[in-house]
Amino acid sequence: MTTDFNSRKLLSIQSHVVHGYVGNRAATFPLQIRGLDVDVLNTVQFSNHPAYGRFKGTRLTEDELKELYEGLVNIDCEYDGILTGYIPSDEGLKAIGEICRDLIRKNPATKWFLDPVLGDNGKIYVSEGNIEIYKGILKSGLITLVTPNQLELEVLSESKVHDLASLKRAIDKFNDLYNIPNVVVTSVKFNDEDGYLYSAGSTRVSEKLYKSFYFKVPVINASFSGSGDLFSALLASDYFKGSEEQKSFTEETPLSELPLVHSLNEVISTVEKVLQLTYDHEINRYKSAGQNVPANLKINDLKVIQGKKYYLQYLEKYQAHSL
Amino acid sequence: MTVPEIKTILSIQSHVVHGYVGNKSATFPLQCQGWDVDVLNSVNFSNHTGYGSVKGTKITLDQLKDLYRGLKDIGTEYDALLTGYIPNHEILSYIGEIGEDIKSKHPESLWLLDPVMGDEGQLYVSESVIPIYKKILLGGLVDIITPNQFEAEILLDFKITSIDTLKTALKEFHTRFKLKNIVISSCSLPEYPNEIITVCSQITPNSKIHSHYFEVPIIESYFTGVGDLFSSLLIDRVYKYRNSDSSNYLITSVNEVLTIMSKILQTTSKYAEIKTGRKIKSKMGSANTMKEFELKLIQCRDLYGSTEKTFNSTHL
Repeated sequence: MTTDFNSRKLLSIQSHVVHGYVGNRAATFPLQIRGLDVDVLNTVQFSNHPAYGRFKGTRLTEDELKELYEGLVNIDCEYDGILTGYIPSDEGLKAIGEICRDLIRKNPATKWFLDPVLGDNGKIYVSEGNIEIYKGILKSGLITLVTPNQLELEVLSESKVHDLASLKRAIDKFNDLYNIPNVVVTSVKFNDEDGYLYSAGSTRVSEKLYKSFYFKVPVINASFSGSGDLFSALLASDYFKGSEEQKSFTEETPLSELPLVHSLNEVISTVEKVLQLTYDHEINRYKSAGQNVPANLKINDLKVIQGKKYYLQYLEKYQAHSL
Repeated sequence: MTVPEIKTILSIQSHVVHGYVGNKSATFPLQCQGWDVDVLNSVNFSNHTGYGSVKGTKITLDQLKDLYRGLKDIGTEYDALLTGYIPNHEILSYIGEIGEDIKSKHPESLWLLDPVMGDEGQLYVSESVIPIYKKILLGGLVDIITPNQFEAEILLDFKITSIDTLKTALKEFHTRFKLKNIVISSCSLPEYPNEIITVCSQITPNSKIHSHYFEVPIIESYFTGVGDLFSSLLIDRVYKYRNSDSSNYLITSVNEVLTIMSKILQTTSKYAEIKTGRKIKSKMGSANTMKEFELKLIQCRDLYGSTEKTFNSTHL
């Protein structure tokens, strides 16, 4: 039996769907399996995620969010980490920003892991105002780890990414602007390179000095809802895996000694396993129904539960390269 | 790679941001046992009400109907349904309809209903839910109920004061309410002055009633979420064992669940003692003390699959 009496406490502020695995539903189970005590603050309750084409449900208002937080304050909740994801409304984002600021003010050791969800695949799905609020949050000095995708990196750094050199420039500019200790660009695709995607990281080794790196990974030929939420949750959990002691790094520190390199490698490898399992399941479904698999396969629900065994394997399949 | 089909369950219960009651207590153990749990939250509270302060909102009837409509629109189907604490009679009535809908699509699906109404003589829901519970049970679609002694008495309109009245109660549940499985989680009787008993009773296809009881250590009431955890583990075991050859699968199920529960409560107590530096005596305290009484569901995550049976059952 696990006798870990000092479980790390995490507050995860994300969406809830009754059916399927996005937002908190993608994040919570893997975190719990990894032994984290997760307080689950649901910003919406939908029947399912909107990519199904139809859904029902309600969003919390700004006042309801604040009230729930007040309830947590009243019972003196404190956290080792806060995880925030997709927050579409400006008011909601402002309210959650204030909640996180307040938690960190009360306990400066609290780490804030932020997934700045703005859009994907070239399409922005939040307002201009939302982007500005995110920029303010990113500049606050309160973020420990941020996980933009390619589009979000481009928007937040105001520079385009089309190859490794421009990826490096965008990350440098992002670091210049926001000075966040850990940045992970979850997935980057280059036009001239089918079949692969890149995942890049950047970690602050000393004041204003960063080491950046990337992994090249084969792409699974389908689109998945919730994979980003699973990704950011696993990455956040890895932060608490190592020892508490702060190691010091320099420009000469090899990649193999940087914790973020191992975390990112682990998360890429684990998420890939879950996606592959989900993909295989979907292909089997088409096959057993005697149907052809469509070219642009869209998979609604990750196999988060069946993927249970992968969350504890801590695989590191890939090779890190300097960027 | 082949991926086995997974069992699906709809769990309609409360949600708390912090702590482990309702769906927060039921979901994780079920997921650990390989269930794909659709989690419909009937309330969205900061914490459970035992803390003395709580914030949050309850779902309205319209919101509940809307959410279930959303689930039907995408064609969800369930192997099981788990329903717990529902303080409002209109919501309860609609949950009855959800149960009918799920059972009409899959008659072999399993419905565990925990008729949470009160404890030790105190009702903590509106009296208006009582006739709705009776109506749902008379519909004959519920497979298992898990009342405590007080709730059983309310549903049957008589007191359980002896072995004889207990037997009558079980018979009434089986015949009048057509229930196949009854588990009375805690019962105290003059015949057993120093014990709490957990009673389980099953009716066979040829109408024979098999009733047994387990003597259990008194489950201290300062823990919350215990009943919700119990019913989630029980539905998993009954689903798994009900098609086995054993005619007494309910006894096996309850024994396994009691064994796990007892370990979780011990772990939780031990944890609370370490954290507070003293033996736990009273229920009420500061929010900080209450926090140490939250079930250690995460720390006990390796226990949910255990088939160990440490209790003895006695024929009633």
